[in-house]
Amino acid sequence: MDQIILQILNGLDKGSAYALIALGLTLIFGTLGVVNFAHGALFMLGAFCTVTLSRLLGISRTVIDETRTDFLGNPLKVEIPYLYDWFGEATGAAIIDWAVPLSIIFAIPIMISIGVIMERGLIKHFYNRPHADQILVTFGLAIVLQEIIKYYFGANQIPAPAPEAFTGSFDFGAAFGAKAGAIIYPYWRIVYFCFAMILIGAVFAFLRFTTFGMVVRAGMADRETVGLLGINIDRRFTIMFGIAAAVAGLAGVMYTPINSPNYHMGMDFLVISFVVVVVGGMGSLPGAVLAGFVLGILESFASMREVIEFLPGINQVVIYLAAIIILLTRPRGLMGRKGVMED
Amino acid sequence: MNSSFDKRQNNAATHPAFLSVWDIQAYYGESYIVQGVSFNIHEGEILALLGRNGAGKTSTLRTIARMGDPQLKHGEIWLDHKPLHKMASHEAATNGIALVPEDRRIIPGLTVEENLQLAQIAPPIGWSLERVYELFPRLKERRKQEGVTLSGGEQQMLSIARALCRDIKVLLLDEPYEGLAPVIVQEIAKTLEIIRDQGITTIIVEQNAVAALKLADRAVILDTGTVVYDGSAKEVLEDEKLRAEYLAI
Amino acid sequence: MSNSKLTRRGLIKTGAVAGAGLATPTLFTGNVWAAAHAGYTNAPQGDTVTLGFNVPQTGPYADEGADELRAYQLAVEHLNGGGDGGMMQTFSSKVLDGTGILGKKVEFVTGDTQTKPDAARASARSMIEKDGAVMITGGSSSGVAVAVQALCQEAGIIFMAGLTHSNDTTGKDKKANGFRHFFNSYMSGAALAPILADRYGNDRKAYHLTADYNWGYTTEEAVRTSTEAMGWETVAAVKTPLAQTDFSSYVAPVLNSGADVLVLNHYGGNMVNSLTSAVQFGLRAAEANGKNFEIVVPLYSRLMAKGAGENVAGIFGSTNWHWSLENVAGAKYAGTNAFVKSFGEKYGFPPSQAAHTVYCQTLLYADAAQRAGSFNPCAIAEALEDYSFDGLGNGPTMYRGADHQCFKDVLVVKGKENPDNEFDLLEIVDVTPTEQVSYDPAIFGGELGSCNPGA
Repeated sequence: MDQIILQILNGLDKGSAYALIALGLTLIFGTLGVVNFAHGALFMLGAFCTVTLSRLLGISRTVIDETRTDFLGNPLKVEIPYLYDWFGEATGAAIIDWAVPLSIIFAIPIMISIGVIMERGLIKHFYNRPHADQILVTFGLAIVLQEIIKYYFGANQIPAPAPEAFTGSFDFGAAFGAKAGAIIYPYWRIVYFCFAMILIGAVFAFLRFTTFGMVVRAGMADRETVGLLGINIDRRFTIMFGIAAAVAGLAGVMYTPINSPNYHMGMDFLVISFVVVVVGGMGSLPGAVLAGFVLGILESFASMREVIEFLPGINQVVIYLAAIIILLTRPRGLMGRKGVMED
Repeated sequence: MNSSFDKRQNNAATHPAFLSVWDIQAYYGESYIVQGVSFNIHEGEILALLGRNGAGKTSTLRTIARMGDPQLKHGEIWLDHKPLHKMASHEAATNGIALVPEDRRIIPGLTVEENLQLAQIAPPIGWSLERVYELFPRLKERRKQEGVTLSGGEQQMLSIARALCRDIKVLLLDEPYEGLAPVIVQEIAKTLEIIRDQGITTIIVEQNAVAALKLADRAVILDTGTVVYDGSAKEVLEDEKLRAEYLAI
Repeated sequence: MSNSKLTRRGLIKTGAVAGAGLATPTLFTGNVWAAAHAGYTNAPQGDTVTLGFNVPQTGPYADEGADELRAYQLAVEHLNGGGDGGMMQTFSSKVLDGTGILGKKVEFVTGDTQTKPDAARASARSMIEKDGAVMITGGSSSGVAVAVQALCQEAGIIFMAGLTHSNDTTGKDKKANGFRHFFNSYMSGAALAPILADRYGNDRKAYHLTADYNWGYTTEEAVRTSTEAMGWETVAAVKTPLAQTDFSSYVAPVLNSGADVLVLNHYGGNMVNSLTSAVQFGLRAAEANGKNFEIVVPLYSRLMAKGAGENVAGIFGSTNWHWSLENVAGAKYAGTNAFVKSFGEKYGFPPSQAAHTVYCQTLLYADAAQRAGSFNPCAIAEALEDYSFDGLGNGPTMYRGADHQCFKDVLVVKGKENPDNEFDLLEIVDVTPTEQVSYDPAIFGGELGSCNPGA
């Protein structure tokens, strides 16, 4: 039983990332009708916003410490971040420690701008093209972005640890009366899940309670009629693209302590996110979120030792298997509207 | 009253009517649907656009409203000296065109009130919500209900109300009585009379030709995408031969 | 780095062809045979000889690949007489004199294995066919090593393995044209088990997480066999995909499995992620079966340790070499400090074990060619088989003829609790003598075959 709860927790965590990316994908597909294969790259760019901010915060001056030697026997060069000089060591270290959450603020304007530029610069030329064209172009863009990041940041993972306050784990078992040490879950992953829920909630609230959101919802449901009412939906959709990019980017920002950012993480998440969108029902926002969590939990369960013993290799294919089964029995996905994407 | 058109010369620029449609040719893909339609409307007139099924009536309305399909490939549309033929649908809408579509197109996921509010986002704004609710008390009752859950007649009223929320110059009504019980049709007809009395220029496309003709001042009859009659509504009502030939009534 | 232009050019050239190369069958075309004058493949004409450095520049082992490339460039510099000569000063054989190999200046081309066997084969083939490399070396993955080794055997090219730890490379997949300096899983198991039994006791239950390819399997087997011989019980062994980045679902069940030791048969990026996960899930601080929970990483590297940060503190593992070896264990390991100084002054940080092994391999190849008087693979193989040498930082070493594997002392290391600086993350706990990690070549099967000069 503990095992099951643990794996559900695990799944919620991975599922959060999937849900956030799928949410952005569905927003873009639902509003612009564009299949955006560069969305995973946006997730990756968000993570690298964190890396960039960490590096910026860590810019240091070099000081020679005569009392210590380095590996060659020369006096040790010590790096002192400028932040320490400006704010004192304690505050400076605290700021550097909190780089990941601080990156949220840093990343929002950057990701929105990237989204808007992407849309105005490239995507809008492909609104009325066949989906195959859109896939080719956005996939190409994803590869370009990936290679740019690889060029500047190298091919290796770059650690971006969570703030000290969130290292360590929470003993769920003890809290809920089960055996102590039975269900342990790292703090930061819990934080990530909560963050994802807040972000998803914010997006839905935005769509339901603001005028802009209402226009977007209307445009997703019936684009033609919105035009009849005098509204130029394209402009709003550009902003929506920026918001979707920001959602994916923020998902990436907070994910960095869970899995160190590397140039390839966008691709790793992209394919699964598309499966999530299709399983959830293309064009259905709640469907995308639900499918994200369901598939995340499924993937988690499939990695359990007992399951792998029973069905070897299941962990690598479970998501695709599930997608095939769901789509065969219910082609419009879990919550898709009938007729969407059945063309 | 027979305004004749010389297809070789576009009078719209020199003899401007309020709404001038000149030799418009529109296609659905490769299909040639609107095959050179021309007519003029003066401000405040009600025009009934009639014809058999497939004659191209809805397509003509959609072309005037500058929808994506059918595509206008030739011809001009002038509304109050503005060249509509150069505009996209949302621009045409801000320049005074309002189309009440055949399938009503109430937006799912939005309440009645939200559907109306949607109409009031882009300028120029017409009737206020209060005024709309005065004319359509049933809509006021259901204002928080999701739009698509309304009955057919109520949806039609909502669709018309939505158009009135904007400051429109020409109202395009596509089959407003379609699929409605006679008793509801009466209600809608009354509403349209009120609108007519407000002096709003209107084109009404209607299978129920008699009802439309009773409301209208003029009539234009289409057959396979071309104009075969352009005259007064009364004349059509009275001319049996005309009615039999082109309207089958 | 003065050689960078050459590297990039070679890489672009090689990379552009690698894509085309992927589509062609693995048999060699007539061109190679036709060009084989003097009876072997790519016999150097003119006054240069070209070596092919096939390293991972992307993928989970990219860090090691980059360090290997640095060491290769250093070796070439030293062979051509530049720099301070590095380990050529301490090497027991004195036939190399800085004039290249057999009087020919050493040049090189590079390729990206991407840590994938197919890509590695393609880039190796391109370097052989297009660039005329007379020797292929490098790699950080045993999957890659075995694949490239087989390719070189077919092509009549010598393969000097880079960082490959699986038993298979000189075990069931051994080839006469291939040579490995780096130690293997069996040696790690044999070196680690006594230390682990000593520190953690004989009554332990181990849970293995294993990378799902040949290196993972042989390492798991080696550790299991040697620890079970000491009385440990293996509770579970789960395979994890090589491309996996998030190990949380594999780590989560460990604490409740009844085990009290987690063995991570992971390397490079895998190890960084799985270890971080394990620590995040509280395994280090936990207790099981009344004892402290422990984590073992059978194959360590300082680069991995850097990636994992403070998570490595107190964790045992083995390595082929460490930059502090001569300082800690004495002059027996001469060569270490010379190499560290040479590498450190050029690049600003100490070399990893990956860098060390490929540097040694390059020197050993050059030395063998020099002694044999020829670049013919059969002559080189003969010069290397059963060759004993010293002064390359590992103490006395022998290249066994039966399987082309080097036998030397093995280091057992531990993550430092309070590292002084970012290079000071590992401390040497013990040096296991060669005799204790030796084995009969027959236990792994495989056929060495005969050398293939390619003509």
